[in-house]
Amino acid sequence: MTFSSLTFLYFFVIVTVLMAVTKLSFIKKAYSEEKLASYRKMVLVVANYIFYGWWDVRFCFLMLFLTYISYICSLGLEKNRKLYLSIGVIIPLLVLGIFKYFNFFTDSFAAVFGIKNMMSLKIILPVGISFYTFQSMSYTLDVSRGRLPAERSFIDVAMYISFFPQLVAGPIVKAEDFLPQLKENRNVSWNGLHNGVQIFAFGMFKKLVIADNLSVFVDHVFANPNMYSGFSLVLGVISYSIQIYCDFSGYSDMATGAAKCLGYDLKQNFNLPYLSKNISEFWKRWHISLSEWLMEYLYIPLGGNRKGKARTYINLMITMVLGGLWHGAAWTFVVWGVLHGAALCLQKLFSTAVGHGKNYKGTVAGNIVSAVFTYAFVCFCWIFFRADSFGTAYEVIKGIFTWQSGTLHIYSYSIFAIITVAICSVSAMIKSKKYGNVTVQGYYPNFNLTTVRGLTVFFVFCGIIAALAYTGSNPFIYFQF
Amino acid sequence: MKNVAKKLFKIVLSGVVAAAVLNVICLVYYNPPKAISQLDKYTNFKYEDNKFWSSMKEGFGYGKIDGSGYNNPETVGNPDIVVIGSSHTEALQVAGDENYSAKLERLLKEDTSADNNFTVKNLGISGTDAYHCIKNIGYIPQSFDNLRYIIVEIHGIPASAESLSKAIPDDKGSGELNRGIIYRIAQKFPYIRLLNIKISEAGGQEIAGAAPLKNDDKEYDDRYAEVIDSVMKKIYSSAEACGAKPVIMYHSPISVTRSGDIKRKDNGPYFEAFKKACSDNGVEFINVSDSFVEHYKNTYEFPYGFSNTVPGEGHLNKVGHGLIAECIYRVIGSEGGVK
Repeated sequence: MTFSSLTFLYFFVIVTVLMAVTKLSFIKKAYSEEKLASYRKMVLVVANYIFYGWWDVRFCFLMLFLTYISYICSLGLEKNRKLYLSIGVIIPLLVLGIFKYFNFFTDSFAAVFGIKNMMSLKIILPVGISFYTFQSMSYTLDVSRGRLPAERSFIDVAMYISFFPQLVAGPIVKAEDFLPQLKENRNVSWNGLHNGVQIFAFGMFKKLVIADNLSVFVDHVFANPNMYSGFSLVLGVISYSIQIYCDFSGYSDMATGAAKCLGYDLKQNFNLPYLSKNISEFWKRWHISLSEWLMEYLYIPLGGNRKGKARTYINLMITMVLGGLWHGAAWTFVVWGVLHGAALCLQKLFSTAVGHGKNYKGTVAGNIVSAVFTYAFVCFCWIFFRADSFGTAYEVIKGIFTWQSGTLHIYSYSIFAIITVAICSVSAMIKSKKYGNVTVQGYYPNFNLTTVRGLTVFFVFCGIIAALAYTGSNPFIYFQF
Repeated sequence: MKNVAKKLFKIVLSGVVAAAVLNVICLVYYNPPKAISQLDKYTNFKYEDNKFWSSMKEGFGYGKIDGSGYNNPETVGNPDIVVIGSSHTEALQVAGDENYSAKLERLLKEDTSADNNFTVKNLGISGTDAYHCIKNIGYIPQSFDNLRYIIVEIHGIPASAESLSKAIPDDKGSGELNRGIIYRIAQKFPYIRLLNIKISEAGGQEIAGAAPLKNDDKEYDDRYAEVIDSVMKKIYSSAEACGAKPVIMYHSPISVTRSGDIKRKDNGPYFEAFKKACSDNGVEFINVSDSFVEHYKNTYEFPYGFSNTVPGEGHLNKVGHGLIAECIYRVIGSEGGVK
């Protein structure tokens, strides 16, 4: 069940009610706070597995297995750090490798060496596997580094790895951010519902109204690149950049909103990435949880920037290539990662050469030009990310750079999306300046739902979502990862 | 208790105001005409007459339903030409005076070289595909006489001998539209109608599809020639009964392949049998697909699709309506066979 389905709505209402009943006075009198907290955790863990099992009940066994491995290994670190750390990292990687990458590597191997009828497995890719395997590994690694103690409660570990709002498409939650919340006896509250429902609705608007409607045009452009004019291809690529942003950040918003309704806080995963002035800033604003994970558990352990310039660039390239591969088992994703890695290396080289430190601000005109170029580069990379093959990517790029003749199609939802994103960005810039923020920070435009005006505006907003939502089938883009 | 009542009152008041705002927005965004079923008529339903309509879900259409319940810029009591067809002819995706029947009338009237001061009445209604056109054409002589032409719009050749044979007897209409109280309430509020459409689409139901019958690739049924001949005889006799010449206006769906070539669906044994039956029974057959392809090659413009859909898919757009009007005009206007 996806967040935008009626099934999820019924499911979420039931879970919320089951959590909220512990606030009733006669229930509170009958049971201790500790018992009620345990009950709430059990409700959530069961709900998490029902949510995941709705796709395929077999996936639950896989997730339970990984949860058990994380639990056992984190406890076993006290006895034999090296052994249990190895198991705690290798097994999730193995699981990810088999389910996601086995066929990709065997097919690539066979293609290179001209081997026919090479063995391939008919494996279903479990939804969200890339996310919860990373969470499972990060928990074991954090315990091994002493960032947090090994969790004695299996239920808490299960809750952390399987928490349904962020289970299938992130954000990738760190154990040190989430496990302490489980000790605080959190529950459904009016304040949480007040903000959570609005954040959820905001995410739905991004996903159903903007992303899904854009997908109609984007899918057609990438399926028929030779049909469109150069201008339409550019509009198609820009539309994809907005589609993937709204799809993914929309899901993250819905995850954040759902978690808030249940009393839990998830960290921001996107922060107006297309306002970035360089590629390094882009990765601090785009899929923040993944870039932080890659930096902490891959880039820094490889040596980061502590082993000389050449090694820094190599570490950056490895991190970005693996980051690209994480998104999908295809060479187009690898190329996407290579391009971003190369851009990061070039930016580092340039910053060092001209003496721009971390706190360099630049002029307004310079920053605008930098942001435009960064956005253009990111869009160019998205061509590889979206294309189903290098052939398609080549056709799109060739069509743009030769400004080919073809059907000129100015898709109205693209214009609507560009205007909406522009207005939201400008609004965020004004608000950030007002509050004296050093960098532009995104925010949720929540209303005061205790007033008639706020409630009316919110109802109209929800009504517009229902009216403009795309009603064809469009799963979240990041579900495939 | 007082607090709860106060909160409930706020929620209800906010809901009512929000509903009013949404309905006002929908008056512009999506306010299609309300359908009224009818029996023993050339279309199974018509629309509430003299009502403004708008539709921005596909295309950007707006206009007014005429006094007889059809999408015409003005009410025409005794037309010279009637056009029947599906949602392509109904044309709720373009402005009321931009559909091909209105354009055809303007082309004929602007041509002062011949006596072409004809009025054209659009009887297009969503869902009136080839099958329903054939089934209902027998009722046209009961409502109209002294017609010059009856133009039947066909999108995709109907290729089922069995279903076509059922189209030969006239259709009384089913009166299905007048459903229960919820339907009647929904008809009064454009926002609720929009939600109803959305829910149906989300459930996988194709709403007012513009897709042609998809069965013309199947193996040729030998009965087809005989059945289609009977169909054409019915069309001819219905037209003759009101003094009109029958015209089939055929438009093929066109699409572009990945390599940029045009694909069209007007070949094969069913298409040839259909054309032959038209020719054998004195029914004029106009294939506008050539114009579509020619236009695309010169301008890369598709006759279907809008800026809020993808090009080449869905209903006829302004370009498509213009090309059809010109094609029909070339045949029945001063260059063609005007009586």
